[in-house]
Amino acid sequence: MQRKTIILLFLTLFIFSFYQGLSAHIGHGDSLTKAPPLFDDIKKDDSKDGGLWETFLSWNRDVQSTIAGYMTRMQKSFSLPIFLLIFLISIVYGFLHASGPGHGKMLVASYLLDRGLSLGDAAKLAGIISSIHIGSAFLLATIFQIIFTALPDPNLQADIRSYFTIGSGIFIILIGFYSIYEKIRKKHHEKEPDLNNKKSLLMIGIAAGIVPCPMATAIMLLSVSFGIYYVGALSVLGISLGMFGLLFLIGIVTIKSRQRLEEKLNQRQKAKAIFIKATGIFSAVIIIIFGFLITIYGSQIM
Amino acid sequence: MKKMIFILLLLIFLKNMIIAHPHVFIETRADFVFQKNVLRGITVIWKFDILFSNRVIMQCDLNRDKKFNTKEIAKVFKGFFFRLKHYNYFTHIWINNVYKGHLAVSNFKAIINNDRRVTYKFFITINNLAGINKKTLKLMYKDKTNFVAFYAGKSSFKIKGAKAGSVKAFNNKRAQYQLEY
Repeated sequence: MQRKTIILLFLTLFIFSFYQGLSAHIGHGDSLTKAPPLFDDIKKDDSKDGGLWETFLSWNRDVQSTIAGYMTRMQKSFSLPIFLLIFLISIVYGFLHASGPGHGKMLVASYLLDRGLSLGDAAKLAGIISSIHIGSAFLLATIFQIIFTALPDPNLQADIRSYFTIGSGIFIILIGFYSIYEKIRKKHHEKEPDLNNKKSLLMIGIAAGIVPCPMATAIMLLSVSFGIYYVGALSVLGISLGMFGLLFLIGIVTIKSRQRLEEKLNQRQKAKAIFIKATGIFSAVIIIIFGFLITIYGSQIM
Repeated sequence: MKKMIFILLLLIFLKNMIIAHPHVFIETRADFVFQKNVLRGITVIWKFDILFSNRVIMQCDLNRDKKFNTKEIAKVFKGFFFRLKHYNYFTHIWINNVYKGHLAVSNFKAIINNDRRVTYKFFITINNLAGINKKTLKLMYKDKTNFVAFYAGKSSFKIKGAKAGSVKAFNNKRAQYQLEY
């Protein structure tokens, strides 16, 4: 009965995502041109001016323009203190930017919850995601600018982002299903050691980081247009470090929380077994759902 | 199981909030254009952040004179602006709380400012308003995929061609505008 419900659920999700993607591309469903929620009377509600989301946006905006401002100064003349300041601000920016929606935080938490890995593994995973996410952006900007000496059509760039996002989503779905398959297989071969953690760690890291960071690409391109390529490279390195810091922090919190819960459940072996089983399945399902959502999102980029 | 289905549905509907985050920032303005006290349209003004502006300049300022000529504006239109049609130009309008989809856009212009930021300017025609007496127009710039974030300063609008005192307008930081006349 449960298995049937799960199959039905995934079938529904698949049809839904397929329909959303298709209608967005063809333009018939008008999923993007229909009305967003109508806002309230803005005269009556002054509180609409603030909020956490607005604060997050304005911080991002301010830090981004600060980096761009310092880069403009560096274009005129080199200054070591400003060079280092750009690096430090970029670290803060990477941390701040990654703390917003996306960037694989939920995936990292779900994956670590599922596997029960060590802090070292959490660091590796954070390192893989941040270096691939930022590194691919760095490479993309370099290839566009140095090898082709001109950027391709902007429409093509949006298409590339769309395909990368869809690819990442599908990859994540497959990892989620593979994770469930592994659990079923392990159930039948309980004595078999788990040799796949390293491989799947790399896979989830690649899947979560494969979409190049548009912000890092933009910073690189700005530095190239100013003729200070090395400043862009340093800034991108800083962003990558900031993002690594945040993902690693998420990893630490997840692992410590899991360990603490397991310790509490140590005296109740049955409850502990249920917890481990439940977190495993729940995490794999969350990974699959995220894969679906990323795929839908990717298909909506036009 | 019911809880899980609920979480799934919630995730689906909030997917753009969970997955996407802004990479392009636009400072907005709206000029409401009246003729004989009837609203004829809105001149939309978007000033982009320096990073996105740099991309537009790199790709479209072909002669590198820090200005867009007619040919270069056509390139900005084709390369960057035209595909926004699929997103309703991120511009959402309600008149007396009725949504106006499929907007008619004209007079697109792109400018490079002295601070190296690019501004888009375009006109949205508003039709069939002559017969309605009391009107509330709501305007919101919003990208539902969350890749672009909009914001507005205080009183970032102008009323053009209307009798003094016959129109009231407001806006907030979220680039939401309200017009009453």
